[in-house]
Amino acid sequence: MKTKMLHVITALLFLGMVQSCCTPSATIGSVNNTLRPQETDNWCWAAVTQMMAENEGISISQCDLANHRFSKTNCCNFQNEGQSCPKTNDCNEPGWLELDFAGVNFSESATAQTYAKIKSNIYCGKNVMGYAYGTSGVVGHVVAVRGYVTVGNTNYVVLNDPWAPCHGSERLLTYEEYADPSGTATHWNTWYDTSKK
Amino acid sequence: MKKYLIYLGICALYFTVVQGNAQDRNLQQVIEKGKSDLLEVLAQTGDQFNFDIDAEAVRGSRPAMPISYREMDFEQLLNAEGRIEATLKPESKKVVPLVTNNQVVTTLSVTAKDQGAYEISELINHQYQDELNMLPEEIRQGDFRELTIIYVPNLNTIVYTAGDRSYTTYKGSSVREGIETTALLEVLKTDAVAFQEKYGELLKQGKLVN
Repeated sequence: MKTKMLHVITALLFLGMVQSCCTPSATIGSVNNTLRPQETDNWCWAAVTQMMAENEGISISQCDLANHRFSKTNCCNFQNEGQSCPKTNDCNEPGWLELDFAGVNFSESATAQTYAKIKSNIYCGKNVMGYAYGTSGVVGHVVAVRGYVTVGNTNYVVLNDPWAPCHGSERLLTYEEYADPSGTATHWNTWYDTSKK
Repeated sequence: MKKYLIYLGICALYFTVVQGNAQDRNLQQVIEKGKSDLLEVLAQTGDQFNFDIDAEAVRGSRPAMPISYREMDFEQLLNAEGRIEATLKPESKKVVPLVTNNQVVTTLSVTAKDQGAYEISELINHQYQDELNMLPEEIRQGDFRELTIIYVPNLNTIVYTAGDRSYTTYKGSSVREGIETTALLEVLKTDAVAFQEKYGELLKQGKLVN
């Protein structure tokens, strides 16, 4: 019994050491995460929740998240017969991430994360991060951050953007644009350090 | 005194022209850097990402005229009176199509930062790429001159405006067919009012995303 305990403690210490020793690649890092397009005009929050949950091994649909958020039961209905996307306009409403409901532990911050923190989350933690931005008083947008690339002196973050509806796309923003978006938009929130509950 | 004023005027004109030229040079350099970075990213990342872009097409492309990107002021839209210009905030970035044979291969975005110097802010945007390619031939042949990209918040739609004609996918419209800008503004205003009635109070309570 004593030996067993000793083995467990040694293994935990070893794991902790490995994780704290992880040095992110200076130029490129990625998490293998399937792009999930938003299934209505307004469901970026559901799509990003789905992508972040899937990265933790949790399978959850956007319409189940919408049913929960709007206390409805019909959000999985198709808008057009025979086409699974888009989902019914009856549930086509803006929202916010539903990580807690999806079963994901997370940290969040209203200030932008440093590039070093993003690299560490992606390369070492293999976490998909959430990033919301927008202008005060109007509806914003949220995307999943699943990678980074440095070219010369310019740092880029790679996004799984659920927009456009039923399509989505992978795109790149400079780190500066992530931290301080163009125009009147600002960084709203970053979700990071995720794990399964 | 008159000579002094003339001298001052010439100096002011000289500095305006010099500054304008310097800004143009800076913009061209930033666009070239963006294209070069994109090629580097595509070469470096291999199959780690799926950007859905052909590196050779990017390499062979040239930048078209940078398109001004402006966001609509939702409050102004609620009270709009016929002129779309009056509802727009100042330019927040420029979208630069990279084109080959009249086809947009991808787009870059550049943003004016401190003292008017441009910086690259975004590489790759499939929505702009797809929709710019669907605009009428004369707009594409004209290298997108006179075009403005307008983002309408809350209604979450993009409008491409060239003078009195606008192009959008809003409510099932096609960007291939233009509609009168004033008519579109009326539709947007009506929907903005409905949106405000439904979500106005909710937005005061907290942030929402779509």
